Amino acid sequence: MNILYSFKFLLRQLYLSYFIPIAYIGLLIYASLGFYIYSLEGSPGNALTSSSTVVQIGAIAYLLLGVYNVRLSDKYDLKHLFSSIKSGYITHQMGSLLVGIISIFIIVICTFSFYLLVMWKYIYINPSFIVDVFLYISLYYGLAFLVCYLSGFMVATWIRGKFVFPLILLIYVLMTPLNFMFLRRSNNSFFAWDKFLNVGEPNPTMAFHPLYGLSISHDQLAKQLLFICIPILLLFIYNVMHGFLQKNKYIIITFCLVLIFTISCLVSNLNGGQILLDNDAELHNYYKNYDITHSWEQQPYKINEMNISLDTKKNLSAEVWYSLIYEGQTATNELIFSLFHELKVKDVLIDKKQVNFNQNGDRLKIILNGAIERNEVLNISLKYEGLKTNFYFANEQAVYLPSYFNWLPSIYDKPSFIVLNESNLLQRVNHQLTQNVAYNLVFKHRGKEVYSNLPKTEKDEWAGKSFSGITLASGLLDVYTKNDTQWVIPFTWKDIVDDFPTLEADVQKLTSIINSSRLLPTEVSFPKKIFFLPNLNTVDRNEFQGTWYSQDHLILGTHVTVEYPEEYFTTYKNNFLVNIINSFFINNASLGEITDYQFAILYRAFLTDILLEQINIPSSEFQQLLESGQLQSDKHPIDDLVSQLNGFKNSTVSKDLSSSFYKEWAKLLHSNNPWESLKNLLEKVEDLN
Amino acid sequence: MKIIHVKNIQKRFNKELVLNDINFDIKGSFGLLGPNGAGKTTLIRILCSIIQPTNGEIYADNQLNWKDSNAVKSNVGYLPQTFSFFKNASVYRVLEYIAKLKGISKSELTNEITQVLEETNLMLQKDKKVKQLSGGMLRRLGIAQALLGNPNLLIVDEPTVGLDIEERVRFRQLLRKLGKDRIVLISSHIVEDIENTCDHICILKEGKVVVTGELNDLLASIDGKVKEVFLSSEQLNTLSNEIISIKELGSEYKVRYVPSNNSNLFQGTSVSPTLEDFYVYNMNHGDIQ
Repeated sequence: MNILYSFKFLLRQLYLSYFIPIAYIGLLIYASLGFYIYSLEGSPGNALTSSSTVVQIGAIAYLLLGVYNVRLSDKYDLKHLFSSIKSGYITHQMGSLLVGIISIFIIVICTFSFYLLVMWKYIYINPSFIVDVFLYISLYYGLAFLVCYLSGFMVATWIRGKFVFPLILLIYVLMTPLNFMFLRRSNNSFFAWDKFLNVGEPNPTMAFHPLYGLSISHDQLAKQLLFICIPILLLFIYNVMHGFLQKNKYIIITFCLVLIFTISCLVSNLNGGQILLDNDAELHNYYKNYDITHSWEQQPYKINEMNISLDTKKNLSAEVWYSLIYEGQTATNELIFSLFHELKVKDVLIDKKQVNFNQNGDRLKIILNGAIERNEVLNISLKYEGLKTNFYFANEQAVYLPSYFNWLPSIYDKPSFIVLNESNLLQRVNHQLTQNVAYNLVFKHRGKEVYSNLPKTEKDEWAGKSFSGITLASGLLDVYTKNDTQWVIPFTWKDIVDDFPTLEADVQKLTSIINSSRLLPTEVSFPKKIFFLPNLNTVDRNEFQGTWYSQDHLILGTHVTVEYPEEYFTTYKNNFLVNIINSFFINNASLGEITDYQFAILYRAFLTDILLEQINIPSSEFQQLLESGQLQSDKHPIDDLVSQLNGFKNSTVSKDLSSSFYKEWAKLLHSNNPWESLKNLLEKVEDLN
Repeated sequence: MKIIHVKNIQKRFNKELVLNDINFDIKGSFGLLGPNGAGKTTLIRILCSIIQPTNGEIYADNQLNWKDSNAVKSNVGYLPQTFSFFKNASVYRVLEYIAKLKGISKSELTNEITQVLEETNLMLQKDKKVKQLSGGMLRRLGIAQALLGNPNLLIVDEPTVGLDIEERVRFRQLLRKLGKDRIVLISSHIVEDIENTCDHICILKEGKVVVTGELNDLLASIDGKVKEVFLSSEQLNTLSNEIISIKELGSEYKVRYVPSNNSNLFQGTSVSPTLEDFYVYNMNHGDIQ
C-alpha cells in the first residue's frame, strides 16, 4: 500500500514538472502518428516493424527518466532521510520504479488501442495477429522501455556525478535498434552482438515479413527478461551493500532466484532457436565459397514410403523413417543424401543399428556396417535438428519448408543453393523427389494453422502420396478457395483474392498450349493448391527463384517486401506468368538435372516470349536478358548464337511450338555441352528453311 | 526512553577510522559539538540506524538495542543537515508522504499531521509548496516530518545552517520546546545552537570524544579560567594562542582569553564562562578521552 502511495506521490511530482508529461504525450502521439500514416498505406505489419524510431526515442526518454527519478531524490538528499525510516528507502525506490512501469504499461495500452483503431479494417479477420500485435508492442515497446528505465535507474543509483551521462549514452547506443550501425557483425564473426544487445525491433532495416509476421519468439522474450533482471540484480546488490535491505534468508533466497532466472534467460538466449534475421548475405556468402566440384547425381535409391515426425519448438527437430531400395548396379557400403547444412544430424539408424555418418556442408554420407547389393532394402531412421536461415522457417511462429528444399533427406547429391559464377546470383537447387512416395507426417506445431500439399487426415497428421515431396507452411496465413482452387496466402493480402481468376485464366491458356504442343514429357495443369507466399529475400534478384511447380501444388513466390498487393496479379501478371513458365520448364525436377543455369535462363526467356505471344501478351524477356548481360561469359561467346536466335525468332517456324526444335532444345538443358549443341541445332533449322 | 548508552563505538570506512571508542550517554536535550570532520554526521547516521558501527553497541534504558535496526527506526525522528523535498509538493503532501512511509495508519494520519503542523507552527503554510517556503519554514517542515510517529529520539543535524538570526532564534526555541517530551540530539558546529538548546553535551574531535557531561557542570569546570581584557592591535599579537573571541570596539579590542604565561602581562577581569569559551578551551587544552 505504501509503495502504491509512493507511486502516486512521485507520479504527481513528475506531472507537476510539465516537461515530463509533455515529452510523454509527445512520445504517444509520435507512435500513434506512425500507425496512422501506415494505415493510409494499408501496412499493418510495417507500421510496427518500421517503428524503430519510436523505440529509439522512447529508449532515451526512459533512460533519462530513470536517471532523473534517482537524481531527484539525490538532489534533495532524501536518501538519508528515507533510510532513517523503516523500509522508507526501499518503499520510495519501489514507488519510483512503479512510476516507470505504470507509465510504460499505459504506453503499451494506448499505442495498442490506437493501432487497433486505425488498423482494424485490415486485421480484424485474423485474431491471432491482433494477439501478436499486443505481444509485439509489449515486447519491443514495453519491455524495451522497461530495460532502459531500469538501466538508467540502476546506473544513476550506483554512480553519482556527470559520468552517468556518457554511460547512459553508451547503453543507448549499444541496446537500441540503431546499434547495427556500430556493431553489425562481419562475415567471419561468430556472434551477432547487434542482435543480442538490441532490445527493440531485431531487424530495423527489414520490411515486415507477411508470412513470418512479427518477431515475437520466446528467445526474444528471454532476452528482454535477461536485460531486465541485470539492473534489478545490481539494484539488489546496491541496496544490500548500503544497508537499505537487511541481509536475511528471504533476501538471499530472492536474490538467488532472480540470479538463477537471469542465468537461465542467458542460457536460453545463447542456445536460441530460429529467429527472423535480416542476414540474407550470410547464406549467399556461404554458398559463394561452397565446394561444388563433385558431380551432382541422383542416387540410385527408391523410396516408397516415408514417415516423418516434426517438432518446431525452437527450430526444426525431425525424425524420419523410410525404407530405401538400393538400385545401384554395383555394391556399395555408403549412402549419399543431401540435407541442408543447418540441419544437424544427431543420429542415424539402419535396421535399428547405429551407423556412422558424416555431414559435409549439405552432403550427408552414411557409412554402412557392410556392403549392400542391388535391390537390397534398408530401413533408415534419421534424427536431425537446426535451421537458422531466414529463407526457410520452422519455429513456433512460422513454418516454410517447401518441397524443393532438402529439409527432408534428398536423394540428389547436390547442395541446397548455388551461386552462379557469372551473375553472382543465389540460386535455389531443386530437391523435389519425383518418386511417388507415400508420406505420413506427424507435426505437433504449437503455432498457427499448418498448410500442406498433403491432405490432413487427423489433428497434427497429414498423409498421402506425392511426386514432389512435402511443402509445409504456417504463419500469418489464411486459405481462400476460388474456382475449386485453394489459395494459401498471407492474410494481409486478402484483397488479392478477387484477382486470382485473372491469373488462373491465363495460366490455363498457357498449359493448354504447352500440353497440345507436347513441349513437356508430361502434361502440366494449374494445380488445385497454390501457395502464394513472400519467399524471395532481398538478395533474390532472380524472381524465378520463388515459383515452383509440382503436380499437386504450385508455390507462387514474390518478394517479402510486398505487404498489401491490391490488384497485384492484374498489375504484375506478366511477371507471374514468366515465373510460372519458368517453374514448368526449369524449376521442374522431373525433367532432369539442369547442367548450366545460364543456358536454362536463355531457354526460358526465349520460350516465354513465344508462349506469351500465343496468348496475345507482349513479352520481351529474351531482349531483356540480352541487355542484362547475364549471358556474357568467357567460356562460351554468345554473339553468334544471339544473332542466330534473333533470326530464328523472327521466322515463322519459331511460332510452331510443336516443332521438334523446342523439344530438342529442352533436352539440351540436361546435356553437357549445351551451347555448342544449340548452335548446331539452330544451324540445322536454318538449313531446313 | 530516558537514556541512550553509547558504548565503545567504532566505525571504519575501508581502512579509515572515522569514529574511535566513543562512549557517552544521551539524555534530555543533548548537543553533539565538534568541528567539521569530527565524525558527528557518521555518529548520527549510526544513531539513526542508517549505517551500522564496526564495533560497539548502543542501547536504551528500556531495552531497545541498536542491533534491531527496524525497531530503532520506529523510535527515531531524523532531520538531516540538508533537508529539502520535491519543490512542487505542498507542506501537507510532504508530511502525508513521510507519514505513509513511516507506516502511520490512515485513521491516525490527519491527526498526526495536524499535531506536528501545530507543534512546528506551520498550520498556515500547510498548502504552500516547498519552493514557496523560507529557509526557516523549510527547517520547521523538516522537524515536522521528523516528529511524525511521535519518536522517542529526535535527531537534528546542523539545525540552523542557512537560517537568518531571527529564524535561528525561533528554531532554537522550537527545539527547546520539543526536548521537554523526548530526547533531542542536536549535532552542530555552531556553539550557540547547542548552548541555547541543550542541557548535556559531547564534544567530538577527530573521531574521538573530547569531553561529555551536563552543560552547567562543564562550564563550572572552567569557572575563573576565562578572562576579558581591552587591548590595542599591537598587544593582541602576543595573545594569539590564548584568545577565545575578539570584538572590535573602535581603536580597541575586547578580548576573551584563557590566561597562560604570556597573558599574565595583562590584568584581565574574570568573566562567567560560556560554552564557546569551554569549547575553545577544550579544543586547545582538553585531553581527548
